[in-house]
Amino acid sequence: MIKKAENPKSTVDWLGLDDDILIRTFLKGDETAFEVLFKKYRDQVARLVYSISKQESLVDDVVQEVFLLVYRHLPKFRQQAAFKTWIYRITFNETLRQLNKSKKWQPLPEGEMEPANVPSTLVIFESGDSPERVLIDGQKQAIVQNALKTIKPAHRAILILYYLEDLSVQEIGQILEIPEGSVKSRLYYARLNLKNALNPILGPDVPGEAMDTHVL
Amino acid sequence: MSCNRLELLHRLMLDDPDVLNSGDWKAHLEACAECREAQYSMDRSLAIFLQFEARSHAEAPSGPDWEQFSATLTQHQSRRTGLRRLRLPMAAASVAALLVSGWFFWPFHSLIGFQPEAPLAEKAESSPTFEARGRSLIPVSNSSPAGPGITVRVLPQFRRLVPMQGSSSGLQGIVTSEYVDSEAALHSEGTTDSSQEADVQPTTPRIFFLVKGPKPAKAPVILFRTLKQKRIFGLNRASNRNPVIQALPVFSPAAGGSSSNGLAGFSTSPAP
Repeated sequence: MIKKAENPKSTVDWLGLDDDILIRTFLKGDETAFEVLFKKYRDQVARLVYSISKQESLVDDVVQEVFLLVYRHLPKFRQQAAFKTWIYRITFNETLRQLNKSKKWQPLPEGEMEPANVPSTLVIFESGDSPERVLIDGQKQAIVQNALKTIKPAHRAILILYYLEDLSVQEIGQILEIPEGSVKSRLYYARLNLKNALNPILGPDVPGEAMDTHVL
Repeated sequence: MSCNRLELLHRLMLDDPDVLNSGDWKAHLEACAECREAQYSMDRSLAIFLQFEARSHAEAPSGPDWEQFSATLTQHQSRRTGLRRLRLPMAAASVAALLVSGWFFWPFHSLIGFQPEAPLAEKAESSPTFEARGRSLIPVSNSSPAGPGITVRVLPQFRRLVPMQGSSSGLQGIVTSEYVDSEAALHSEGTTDSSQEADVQPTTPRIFFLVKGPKPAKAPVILFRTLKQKRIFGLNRASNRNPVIQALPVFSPAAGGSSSNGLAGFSTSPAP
């Protein structure tokens, strides 16, 4: 059974504590610290799993598996990297593993055998559609989402980690276990891949005022 | 014609993903439509991607709650503990199985002086048997004060040894007789082989035996085998190093005579 501290505090009180303190407390035998770590990182882990896999059905299983691995291997965690980096690495590896496993058993539905219906969507977009406008239009959204699904999970992961999770190149290198140079190169190719996937359905580029609104 | 700065852009991006925000690059974009277009399309695709992702982050499932995970963890832990507990009994059972199978398929029981009598008895009943008496070719200790007519006592553990032929013949008999070393005894059994008589020294007692067992395909050379050499009484040093003591069956009461090579005759009738 999961052991609790003799005088358990509410886990809410613990949420502000540093990861290092929580890990040390857990290693001393207080399971409440692990519960706090779970609550602190569950959503982030789930989001990352969903972002990489785009499969809701995988999320629960992978999150459970990730935290089981964390629970088992936390005594061996040497704190050379941040806990967040470590748990993201486990999440990334576990998600790819589960994706590969599910690929073996689940053939793609017929509609998704081809990446996107590119020629028929060209007419939908007006020249210079802004990202906001694309997002508002439900029909366009579906087409863009289909195109985004063609991006490799590894490329998707690196874009999310860099632009959404706001991790540094060094941290991403630790998560993916690759040198920093490789992170930059993959980042570049991920963006190129993204552009190639979206450009055919977004129509010709009209820079205009977009110059000032780019996200970088 | 493509702008050479576009190539530069690609190279720069490999070094620094944020190079697109550099002042130098922005100044170039003012003048170069091609690069402006290229950057715009990259920015636009990234912006769309990030907005979709941001929205999907908000809609993403949150994963299992703590109670659910705690139950899984407990189940997982108990399974691991159970497996760990099973490890020792499983290992013990494997060793036991190996020992039991070894007992039947490898004759190490002979090393500890055990004679599995029941299977042999069954075998003897189900197939034609033979009886043979003989003596060891290798004499017992030279220092032994035995001489003609003097009884050499063989210790009980030696009496239990299984006479062996080559494993292919499958001959296994049981040494049943009392062993006496006596030239007179040898002659009184009716052995007439002169070459054997010449070998026999009056002062070097040999082991006599009676073997009963299933009939072999051809006349056997019976080997006594033991690894308990130290406990075999009266064998000389050379024999002690070699646990196999060769013996020739020289007489069979059932056949009533001996062959020209000194081997015993064989009886196909059931042993008495």
